[in-house]
Amino acid sequence: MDEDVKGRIIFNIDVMLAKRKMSLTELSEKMGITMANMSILKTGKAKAIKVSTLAKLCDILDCQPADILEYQKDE
Amino acid sequence: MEHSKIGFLLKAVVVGCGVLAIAAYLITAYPFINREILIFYPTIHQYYPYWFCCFAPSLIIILVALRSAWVIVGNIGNDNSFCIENSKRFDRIKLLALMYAGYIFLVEVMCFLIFAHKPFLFISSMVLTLVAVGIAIVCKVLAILIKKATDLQDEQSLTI
Repeated sequence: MDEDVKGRIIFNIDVMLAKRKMSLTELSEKMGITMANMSILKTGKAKAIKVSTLAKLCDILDCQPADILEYQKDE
Repeated sequence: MEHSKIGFLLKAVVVGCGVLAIAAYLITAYPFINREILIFYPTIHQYYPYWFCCFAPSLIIILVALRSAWVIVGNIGNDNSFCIENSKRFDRIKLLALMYAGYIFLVEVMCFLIFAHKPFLFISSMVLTLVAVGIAIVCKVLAILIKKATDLQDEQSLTI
């Protein structure tokens, strides 16, 4: 199924972190997930994200999912 | 039961199978060492050396398969049951089992046709062939299931 998708979802967390003046370490501590998993999320290697995790992320960064999610088509 | 205990038990099973296989082949080799015993079986006496020389190398296939099984049980003991290596090892054991079945079948059919091999020994060898084919089928199924489990595990580990 993954082979049919010609693009990927990327997490633009950096912009929101800069707006909220928060570091990635601080975010991972507040989220309760490890830096390794944060890195997986940031680099787009995550295969899936729980809705609860996305809700928590939006809650901490005080934003909408559309502010941090972007669909990028493969060239 | 802890993974280390399961691994230890499985390793004992693999070692047991190896010892059993070597013992079985040594028993078939005994008349080769002590030719006098063949006097009691005049019909086998003529072709026994040729049959044994063809049959004996099949032990190598069994030992290579047990080596792969050893690696698999080692991974299970290290709590790494669902990995691509285990799936590939099961595929390898499947191929070796099919090779063994084919080899034994060929040797026994040739002996039956050329030397008029004893029907009892021929049927026993066919049972051995069937067992090998059964092992090949089981290994193929296990390879597929482990691959699916590995994919699920990878997806789970990359779910944030």
